[in-house]
Amino acid sequence: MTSDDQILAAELALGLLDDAEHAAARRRLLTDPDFAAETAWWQDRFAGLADGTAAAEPPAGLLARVEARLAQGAPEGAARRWPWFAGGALAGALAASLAALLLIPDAKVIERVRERVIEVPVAAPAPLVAVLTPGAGTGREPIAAVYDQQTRTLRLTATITVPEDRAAELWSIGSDNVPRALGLLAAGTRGSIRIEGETLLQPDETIAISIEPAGGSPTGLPTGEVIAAGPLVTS
Amino acid sequence: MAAESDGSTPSTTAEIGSSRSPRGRALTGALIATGMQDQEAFRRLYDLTATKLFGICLRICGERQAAEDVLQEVYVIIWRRAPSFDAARASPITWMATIARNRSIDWRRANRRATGDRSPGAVGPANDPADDAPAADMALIGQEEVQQLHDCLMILNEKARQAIRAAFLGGLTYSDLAQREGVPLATMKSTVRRGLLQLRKCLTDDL
Repeated sequence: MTSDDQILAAELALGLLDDAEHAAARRRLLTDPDFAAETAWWQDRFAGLADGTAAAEPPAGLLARVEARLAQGAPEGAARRWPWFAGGALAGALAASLAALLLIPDAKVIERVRERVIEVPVAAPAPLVAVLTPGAGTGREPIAAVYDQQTRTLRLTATITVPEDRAAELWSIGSDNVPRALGLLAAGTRGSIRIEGETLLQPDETIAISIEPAGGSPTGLPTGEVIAAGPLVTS
Repeated sequence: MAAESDGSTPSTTAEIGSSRSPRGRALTGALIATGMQDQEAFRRLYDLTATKLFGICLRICGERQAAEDVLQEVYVIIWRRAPSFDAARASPITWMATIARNRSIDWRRANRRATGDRSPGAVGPANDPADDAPAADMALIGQEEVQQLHDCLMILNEKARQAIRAAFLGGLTYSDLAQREGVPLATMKSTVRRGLLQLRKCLTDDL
């Protein structure tokens, strides 16, 4: 660990970095255990800064709302516009492929997407989207991803090609900066994966894909090349 | 600030923070049981921590409605991530406060992006001069660790100290900070990085 690495971990823990640097530092958590430990150390130390904040009484009934959401199995989402597209945050071709991806799936999903576009309040939560950028100098194209919060399905715009005896594994890094394995992308199909169990992706998470031995990483952390990574945002 | 205005708070949160106190043990127990899908324990956990976490959300979001929405999300996340809580690695309140802080920061960043409002005025709460006041309830996380953090922050250059607080409690990035202070980005980065190096040295020196 150089002192530059230590400072980068502090910058990540504090949130000082701009979006691209932040995503790159989070990607490094996946492959560099020392860097991950340094980041965790800073987070624990900085937690003391929240300690001076005065306590405040939340409204009565908030716990009931939390429990209702948990019973429902998915977060409630207000109707939203698409500032992400309108703002030109994406290169045109990628935006188009992402838009296509949003409109391709089964009829039910299409219906929900249309409802949101015209800003009718709906019970369904807005999908989360991410642009997974490749590492610098790899010559790979960015991949767009859409996560449907209701079906807990993550879809990718591109087929991930991997050598025959290898597998593409999907990871998330949440606001605790701890990487979690989400599952393997089926070979030869356009990436679509249902996130099983209690894992629910949130808008603060970074999504990454690594190339692993068939059957997935044996260590619980990526062991091969991280081919793309990027943060999930609300669409 | 809090020392005067929250006279009743410190003793309560001090009890929560110490793993040796009955309330501290109750909190750890409630979080671990929550991880086993115990809904009763989740309600106890909420009762023990909601005012503290809401205070953090309110402080960072700066508006009540947003803080309420974020607090809801925070408890949903706590329920889902409780199985991965490791009592040997983190104190329960640190673990939960970090989730509350990070979700609130995320809301601020997203909200600012959506409205395009990056003016210095938009970051009001982080400018609060009370930020420099010592924490009244530092026992929440572990008296010594928090005291050490505050002591070490005091040796930093004032600009670096304020920047670190504004980043943590206001979600300000380097660019935001440079804009707010009216200095070049590179100047802000080198000021803060010098401060972080000093801070790390201070925190890791055994006294």
